[in-house]
Amino acid sequence: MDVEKLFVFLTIGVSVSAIYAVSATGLVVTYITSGVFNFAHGAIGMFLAFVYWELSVNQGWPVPLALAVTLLVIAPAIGVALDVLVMRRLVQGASLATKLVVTLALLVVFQGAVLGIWGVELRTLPAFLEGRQYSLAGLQITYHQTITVLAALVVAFGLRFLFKRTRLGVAMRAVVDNPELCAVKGLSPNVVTAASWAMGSSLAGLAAILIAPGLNLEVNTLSLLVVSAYAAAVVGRLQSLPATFVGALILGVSGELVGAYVPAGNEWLANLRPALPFVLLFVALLVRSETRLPEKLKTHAEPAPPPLRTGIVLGGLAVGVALTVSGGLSPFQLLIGSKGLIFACIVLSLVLLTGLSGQVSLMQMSFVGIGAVLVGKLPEAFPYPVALAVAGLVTGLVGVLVALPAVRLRGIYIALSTLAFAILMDKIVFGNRDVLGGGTTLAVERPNVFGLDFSSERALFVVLAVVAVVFANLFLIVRRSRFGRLLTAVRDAPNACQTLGMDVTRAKLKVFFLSATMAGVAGAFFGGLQSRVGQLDFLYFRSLTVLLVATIFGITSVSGAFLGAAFFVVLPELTRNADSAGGQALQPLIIGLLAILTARRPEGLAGRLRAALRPALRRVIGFRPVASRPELPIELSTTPEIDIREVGTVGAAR
Amino acid sequence: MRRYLRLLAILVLPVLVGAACGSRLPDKTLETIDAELTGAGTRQAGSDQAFAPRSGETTEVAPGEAPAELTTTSTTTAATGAASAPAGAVATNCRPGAATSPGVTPGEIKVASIVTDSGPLPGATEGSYRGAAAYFAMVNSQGGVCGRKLTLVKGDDGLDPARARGEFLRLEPKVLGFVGSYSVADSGYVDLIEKSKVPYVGLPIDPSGRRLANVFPKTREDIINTGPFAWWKQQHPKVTKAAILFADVGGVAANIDGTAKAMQKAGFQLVEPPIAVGVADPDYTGQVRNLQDKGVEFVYLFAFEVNMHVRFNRNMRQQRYEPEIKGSNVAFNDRFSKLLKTDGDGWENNLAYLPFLDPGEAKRSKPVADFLAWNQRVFPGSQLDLFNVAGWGRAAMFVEALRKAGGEVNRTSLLQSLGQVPVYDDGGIGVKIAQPSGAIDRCFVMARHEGGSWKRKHPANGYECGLGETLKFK
Amino acid sequence: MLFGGVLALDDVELAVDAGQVTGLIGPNGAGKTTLFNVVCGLQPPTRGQVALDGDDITALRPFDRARRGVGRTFQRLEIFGSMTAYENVRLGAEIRQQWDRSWPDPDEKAAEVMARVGLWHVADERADALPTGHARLVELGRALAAGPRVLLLDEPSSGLSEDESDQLGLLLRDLAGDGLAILLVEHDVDLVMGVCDRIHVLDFGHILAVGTPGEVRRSEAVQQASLGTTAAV
Repeated sequence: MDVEKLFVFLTIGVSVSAIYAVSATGLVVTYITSGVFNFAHGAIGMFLAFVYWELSVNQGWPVPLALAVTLLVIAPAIGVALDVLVMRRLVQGASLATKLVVTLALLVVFQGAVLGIWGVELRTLPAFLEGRQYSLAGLQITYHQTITVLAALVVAFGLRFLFKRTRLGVAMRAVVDNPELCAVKGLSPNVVTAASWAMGSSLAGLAAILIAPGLNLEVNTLSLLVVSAYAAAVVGRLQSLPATFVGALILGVSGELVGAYVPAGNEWLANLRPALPFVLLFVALLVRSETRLPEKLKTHAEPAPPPLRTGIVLGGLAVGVALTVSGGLSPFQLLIGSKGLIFACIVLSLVLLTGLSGQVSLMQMSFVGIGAVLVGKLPEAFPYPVALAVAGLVTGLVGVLVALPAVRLRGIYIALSTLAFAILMDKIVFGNRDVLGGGTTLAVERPNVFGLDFSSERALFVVLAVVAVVFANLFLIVRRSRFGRLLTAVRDAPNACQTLGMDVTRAKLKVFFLSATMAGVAGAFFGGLQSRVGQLDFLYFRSLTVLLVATIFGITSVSGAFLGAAFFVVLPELTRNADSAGGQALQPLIIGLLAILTARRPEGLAGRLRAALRPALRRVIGFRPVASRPELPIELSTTPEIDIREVGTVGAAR
Repeated sequence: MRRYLRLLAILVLPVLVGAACGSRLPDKTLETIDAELTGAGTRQAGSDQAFAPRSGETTEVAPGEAPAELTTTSTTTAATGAASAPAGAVATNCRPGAATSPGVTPGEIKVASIVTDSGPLPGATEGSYRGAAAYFAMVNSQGGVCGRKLTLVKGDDGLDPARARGEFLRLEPKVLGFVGSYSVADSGYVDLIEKSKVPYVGLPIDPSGRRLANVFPKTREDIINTGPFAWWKQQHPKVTKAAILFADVGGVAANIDGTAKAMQKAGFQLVEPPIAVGVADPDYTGQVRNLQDKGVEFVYLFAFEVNMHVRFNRNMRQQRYEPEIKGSNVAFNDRFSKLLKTDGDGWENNLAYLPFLDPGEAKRSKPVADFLAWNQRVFPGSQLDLFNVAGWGRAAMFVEALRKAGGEVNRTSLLQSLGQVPVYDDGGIGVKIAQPSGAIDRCFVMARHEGGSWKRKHPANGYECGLGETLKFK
Repeated sequence: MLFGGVLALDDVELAVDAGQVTGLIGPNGAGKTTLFNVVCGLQPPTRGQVALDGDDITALRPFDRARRGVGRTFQRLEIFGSMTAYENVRLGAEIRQQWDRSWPDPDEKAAEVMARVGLWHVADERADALPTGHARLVELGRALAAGPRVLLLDEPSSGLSEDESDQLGLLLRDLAGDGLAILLVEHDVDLVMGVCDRIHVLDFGHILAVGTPGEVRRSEAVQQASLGTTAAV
């Protein structure tokens, strides 16, 4: 056994771990103090790395000055601004979905900001003391690697000192559970959270600046690498800094050892290395046991679902319209329309899972991909309806599998679990040549049923209209059913559900199954629409974007789903005309900012529209919301103090 | 040669690692182009480079369409007085006929180029559009083809197959054909290329598009030129142990066999099968140690994107690994030199493109001079890369076929003429590929990075065509 | 019960009998909610057992314990905010009916409970718009709709007026009369004294005293410790 080789990789592993540790620590600090898992953590770091590049390379400032300004002035400023402007306003006590959506939106906004400010040229950041290295016990170690380790150690001991010995630190640990305690100590909770966000930003920036020299200074790479740090944070149970460091160490060293010792030939193993952090994340989730209770979070208004009859009539009308209108549309326009319909179906699956049941899924497009790939892989001999069924059911099972480790834990872990899985799928499954068939894309057939071929653009459009209507009605049926109410209860107060005798885990798994099945079926049609699917179609980033757009328009309703899908499909057409750099920055900025603005209201823009239109609708359609309870015989009221209400009122407007 | 082009292009696939080559159009350029086209330029007629002043218009694709496409149009009849006698050959039946095909009017021929410009890999293949546009500008300055000016409409797939499909559906009804397309997401429309039978002068990245009858130029994926390796063996007769590392992206692996066999034919011994290397890995020390342990003296990097190359080099330095031969097939832009400077010295490159080798090439070869001049003229300040070469070359083939087809051109006659073009050589700046067989010859140019930049190593000028053989490996 | 380094409950023994209302009083932070969480299974104990009718249920998951008959309300409201009060109560019955086919129609059960607890006047209000006092009653109603045998009530009178408090007291005695075992955690000492058959006094992890209301009132240990409890919110 070559000891020297082992030490070479251990050294590199330790230096990489140091970076993960710094990043994960920043994440955990903000989580402990504010209760928010900041998905934008990596993106903020990336932004700061660009700022540092701007100062030190572009403007030519001396390195220490640029570092100091970036990490000690700009980073904290960003952190405090985020806390004051966004977190405090939006996020206190908000639902998990809201918190996640806001931080995801921030991720998108920061990426857009970088694209807008610096454009898309590839840049590189020089390492600290670039190229210089020294010899230690026969090993070649660069100065940069040494600096990363030193940085991590400084962070570790600095934070330990902060948390144990200073008032601020103690207050930071207490402020989530016990804001009154902070006041007693003489520190306002506002100061404490602001400080923690400032710290989190600086740490994110430091980590990004340390890792950037090894890569391109580029938006996607940096953001993703810091996502790897999530695994370390999870190992640390999102609360213990020492455990986080251990997690980071495992992450970094195992990555290097895999790179060193795994034989190069095998494609599956070769894809393993970049996926390793996410495998670890998954494993960490599997072995987690929860001692802290899920928090009780804010609930929001629900739109009253229309009755079944209305749903079917409107649906039939919609299909009729689709049939007539489609004759006059060009293939290009039919394509856009079909795309919109498919995305409406995908969003509806999200509405069921995240809107109705409060389980945040960051991998919806991965489910879509599984469905598409399955239909593409099944032999032509299979009748299309059977292929559809297989696509749906297998995807449903995958959904259950993904949810399994995390379902009994806090909601944030489900979100992390889905994110990890999405990235794993990107790398290991969709990136695999065997899966996508030789070249880089896989052919997927269009529907053909009972010998009728629906492969023309027009026929497909009409079929998709039918499918979308079916999906919408399916969702409404669930929404109106007891199962729907149970899911809403789980979303609103999972602890209470447990104590009332509901097997919450099973309920969550059921809804994951249903949602994944829907997404899988939508995926089959998605693949057919595009005729060929490839790795690019199902990237985790698309799942994030779909979630954001769904939230903007209303993740709790059918109309929100359709509006969101329309927006999703039309926006690229609108922004395509903007100047190259501006255009690329424009799309994420629009989506991100809109999402932040609307995050507080899950009923979204669609909800506002409906509220505005409701009086008119009532008159036109005679639409009355479904009764939420049967009418009440007058005699049942007993105690004299209680007013006898007008019991004919049914389903009051909200 | 073509194969490598494709594979290098495939590098841009991994969104997550931002492997982008080429550069974006600088913001100022759009205004400059408009200025050019409206005749605000100051160039005078007279030189044989045909820098004729033009009065131009920016036309739109169709009323109501978004006007963001860049078009290069010009009418030159007034300028030099040589109204319809451009330098090139003219078909005898060149009178412009009636419009018989979409994209063909008495005064204009319109084609489109779908590239990957916006999206996660910005500007990835936009060079292909620009190269073709520059070629058209040159042809238009010489009177166009049969009195018609050439217009190139740009489509952008945003690295999204669905959007690529949309672009195809939008553009196909309006153009004679597609020229200089280089869409990384073309999987979204390859089936439509076949269905519509539209002339497609470009390289589909999706393999299922490459064998189509209406796609040109024709290439073969089963032969490789062993020339470079034969040369290397000649220069280093004692070196035997070799290794190939390739970027683990998309279709690259499917094409690595050829290189492996070529190396072996030339007398090198691969210590292990070609090694896939992750594009996003921040650190290649593992591979470097592996090579060191096995005593590899000839390391060959296949389809490594520039930044991967930089990292690999850095890791080699750290581990003090200096094999005798450091080969690669990446030198299509000068980022390598900018990033590594003299640290990159010693690398040798067999996929060299004449325009990028050194400024002296322009003096030795008129096509190279034209290429550099016209790209600079139409898109000042933009960085050139292999995509510009590809676009330029496709445009050249298209124009050649167009001239053969004569004045009454339609899709069918164009397809016929395309099939009759005898040779494809990137408009004179690349190696020759026989058409329609796709057969290559043994020509190559070897470059070496010396003193912080790429220099011609062998031969002293032109191509080396006498070493090695064309090996059929499949 | 170790909790983040702080010993929340240390050697607490508590028994609750059917047909009786047992009270649990003590200052804030003394560990009462933790005790509830341990009993109904939302938090595991570091040591010790929970037994129901002689059966050890310590290993059972929360919903299993609930199905055996353990019901509770929450101090920090765990109401289904997006639904109406009626829907909340009905859900208690609906959840029960999911696993117990013999349970009556949820609408019927809900109507019955709404009447008994006195909630009809807020039936159609959104639960998260209700004032705390009524929301707590809704939680109580919801728990009742699931038909528990043991009821753990965490500060149910918080936010209620004096009259409403009295009504609640009557309801509790009524429920106990039906055979429920009720454990009542309260700040309102008068309510506790008036309603409970037995009272445990908890003080930062230990039981200070156990006895009838009268005995507890007279206990010295309690008097010392409770200086200031009446001032607690």
